[in-house]
Amino acid sequence: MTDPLLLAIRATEILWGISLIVQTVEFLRLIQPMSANGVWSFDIQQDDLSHAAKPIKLLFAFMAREKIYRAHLIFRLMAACLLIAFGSSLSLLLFLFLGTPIILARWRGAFNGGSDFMTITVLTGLLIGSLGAALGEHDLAWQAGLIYIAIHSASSYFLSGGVKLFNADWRHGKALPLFLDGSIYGPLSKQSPFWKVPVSILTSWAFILWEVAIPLAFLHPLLMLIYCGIGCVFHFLVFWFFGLNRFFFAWLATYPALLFAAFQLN
Amino acid sequence: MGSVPFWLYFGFLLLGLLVGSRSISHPWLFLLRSFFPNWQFYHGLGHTPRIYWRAVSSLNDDLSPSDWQPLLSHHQRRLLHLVHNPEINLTHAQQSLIDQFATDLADRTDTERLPSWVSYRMVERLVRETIAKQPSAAYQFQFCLCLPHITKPIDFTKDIALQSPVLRLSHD
Repeated sequence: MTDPLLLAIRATEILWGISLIVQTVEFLRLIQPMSANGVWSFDIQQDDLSHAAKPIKLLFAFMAREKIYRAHLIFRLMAACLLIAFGSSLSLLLFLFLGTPIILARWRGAFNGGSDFMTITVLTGLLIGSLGAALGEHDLAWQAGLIYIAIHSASSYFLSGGVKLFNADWRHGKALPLFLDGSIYGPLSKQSPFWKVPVSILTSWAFILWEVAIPLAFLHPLLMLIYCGIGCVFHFLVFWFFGLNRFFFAWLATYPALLFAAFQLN
Repeated sequence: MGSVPFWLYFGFLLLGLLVGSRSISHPWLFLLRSFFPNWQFYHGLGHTPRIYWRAVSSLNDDLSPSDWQPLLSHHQRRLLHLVHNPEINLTHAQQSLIDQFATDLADRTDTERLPSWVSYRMVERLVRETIAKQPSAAYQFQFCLCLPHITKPIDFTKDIALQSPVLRLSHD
């Protein structure tokens, strides 16, 4: 195995493991909404599975029992620690992959939108690598797994920026202060600089251009390193203004794959 | 780096943005939607589903409601939340539930069965849970789903998409 590949695999395993620990500890703190009296009680939610075959319904009902659900989360926490300490193994990743829809089904399919998808994407990339390695195609499989992660990560930035680029409200700086005003931290103060049109336009265009510039970052690994550095600041700001902490860790876990892809393409 | 497939891929993505996409729905796709990408968040200014509730007191057979209050509260920003943020993420999940309820209301045709919808029952339970935590919990209450436009302040005479009947707090 070549060194950049080894480095990218270990960095992905560690960053994704940290992301999974953050998510799982939060889920463990949110057992009450899953209880019989909670909003996400399975008594109500099981109607979402009314179309499913009986064995599937029984499986989800069993996994939704409070003690089983808690134990499942604790096992996932342990699996994340093992991944960080010892790296990927097929059995470990299969356990995490198969458990993911069961955990997310308890939140009606999604808990935290895009961060759920990116968490699954990195897990799928790790699974591709491990599966191929088990079949004897070690380097090729891990390259495919990392490229898979890089494609999704790059596409997410490009599409997110592209959507804003084609939207006049974003281009004219109107959208940003209104989304910030409606955020979970309450309305923006009247003195906020984001209400000033030049500031809002400048900030909006900075985000848009950075997001759609991702294909250019593949021109050189150093450009990608700078892109990922700005990405850390961008995701921190998303956390700071919108409270989306899971996005920070979910996307950071894709950066070794982005860097590896930029290295490979050059 | 001059890889043609590489640039073709991003060109294809750009084309996809211009052409738009069709949506498909299925109960399993709904439950497994986290396995499919959707990067169009915070993309356009539109209607933002919100739930409001009010206490309703009975005086000599007349119903006397209080003012509408927002269901979801705001949070304090803390740096520590970067690594541990269950409360705020729960509020995001509650808002997603409200969004789904609004989508159901717009898409489903079986509105005569509305009280049995999963999203309606979960939202009603969320309202009950929130009211029960108030210092002086109301005996009777109502809730409404409002769809104010993000660019305008809420107007309860125009923005209410659904108003519940008067409900008793003790009943669940």
